[in-house]
Amino acid sequence: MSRVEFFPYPVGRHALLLTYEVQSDGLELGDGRRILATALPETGSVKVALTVSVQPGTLERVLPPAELENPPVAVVAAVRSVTSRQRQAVRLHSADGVWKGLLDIPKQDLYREISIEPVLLRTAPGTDDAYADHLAAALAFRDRTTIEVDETPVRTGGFLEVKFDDFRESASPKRSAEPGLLYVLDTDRETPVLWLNEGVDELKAVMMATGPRGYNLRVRDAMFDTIVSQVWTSLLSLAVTNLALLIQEQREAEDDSDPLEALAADWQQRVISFWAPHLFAGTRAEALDDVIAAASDRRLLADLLDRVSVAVQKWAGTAKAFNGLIRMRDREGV
Amino acid sequence: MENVLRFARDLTSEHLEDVLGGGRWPTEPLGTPMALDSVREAVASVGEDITGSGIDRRLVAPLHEALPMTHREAADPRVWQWLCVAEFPEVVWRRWHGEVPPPESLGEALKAQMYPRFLCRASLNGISRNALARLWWTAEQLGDYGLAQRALGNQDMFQNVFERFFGIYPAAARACLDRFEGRSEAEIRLAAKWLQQRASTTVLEGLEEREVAAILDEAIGSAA
Repeated sequence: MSRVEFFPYPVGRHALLLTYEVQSDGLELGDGRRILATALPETGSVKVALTVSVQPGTLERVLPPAELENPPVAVVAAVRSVTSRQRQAVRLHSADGVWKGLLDIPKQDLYREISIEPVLLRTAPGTDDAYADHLAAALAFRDRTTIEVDETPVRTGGFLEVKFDDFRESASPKRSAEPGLLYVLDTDRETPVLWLNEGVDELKAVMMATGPRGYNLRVRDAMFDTIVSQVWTSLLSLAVTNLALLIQEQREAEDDSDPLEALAADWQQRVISFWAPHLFAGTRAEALDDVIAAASDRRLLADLLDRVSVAVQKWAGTAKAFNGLIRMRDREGV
Repeated sequence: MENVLRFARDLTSEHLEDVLGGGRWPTEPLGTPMALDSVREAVASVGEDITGSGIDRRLVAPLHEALPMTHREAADPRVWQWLCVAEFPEVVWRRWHGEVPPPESLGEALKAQMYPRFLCRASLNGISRNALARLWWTAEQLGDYGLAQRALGNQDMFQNVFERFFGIYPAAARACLDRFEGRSEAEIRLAAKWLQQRASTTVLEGLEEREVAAILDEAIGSAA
């Protein structure tokens, strides 16, 4: 459900046009609605001149006719960030038909990212209940612009252990019940384990082969091609499914926390962080936002899982996939 | 002179037990030099006879005074991970486990609910559940040690305010603490939920404390 559907009164979605001009050395415009402040010195300030124009016809839509002559409205830039623990409004001033103001926040007050959302709000309560009538009611807005202060960290660390076991003699009922399988992925642990079947002739020698050339290496690479798709798909699907369930739980508990941060298993955070840019366009931070948005909406979840399948297939069988598994095994993170 | 440090990278749950048991995790200095001795004195000021939320109330002011961090530094979970795991695990155990476990039963004592008390994440829950970050940020945001002590003395009230997004807007947090005083758990939850719903259609940052309090009064009045 989009945000606009939550409003029990008329609002102007996309009815504001925000333009901005960066005014500090070290600030750059990124892709989409993104400003990069990662190069800003630690003692510097994020200074951005903001100009907001209100689309014609907006006031007629969101205010009762009796208020149009002297509209009780103002435009603010709502500046918000969970990671920086910031919520403030920058008041903009009306001049020449547009609203203007300056965002000026020291970098020392910021951590990771903040968002700016231009909002047209009520400056006085109203009396017509067919329209928004409460003080500071949001009447019109526009998608948020994000200021990235620190690069979203790639979650490092291992998220898979690779172990050998002879399935015929395995102490694990799960593996001994399937002595002919090449491998079993065990995700029922703090860190998942990929069990390779030592009971399959030559498998261990092939999988442990090193060096740039040779028959065993070609067999090994082919073997990894076979395994990586399934392993990645299983890990990523499990992580995404857990994320979707967690978002649902948070919604019921009205918990605003970042669901990715709240995922109980660290390896799931890392898997999603690593794969997000393969699933959606943009920076890692933007892609992570898209993953969370898709996992939040039952209608988009199926598409997200389709993307998982496509991304894994595109990526598996390449050198990167193989190297990724090795790095996973070696706990180097990816 | 020893200074306060932070871990050079996030400490993960997989490595917590190892580091609590004396394992190494890389560290790095903070931008603002802060004497560790001041924090040690703050922690030592909590008498052995003090337990539960009494530890929070006793520690909040001296801890905040001993750590003159920028918001950027204090929002970084690695500082709190280092303080809780490497320097002051005893106070975390005492506050959230009731006692400091002997080294041989560390693993047994380290249940899932203890992880967030030592670790920290850059999220609402991550800060509000870390044993020390929650104290520093409550004092910092409220700007009033007495009010911070009151907030920390009632866990249900604390969660209903500081584990919601409106709770990081100081005017809203202060209004809640004022209006929730003496209210039942059910009333607090209802009013917090009401404010949360109102915040979805309101620019909360455009309201002053008394205006947020008026929203809470509507909820409390309608429940009466």
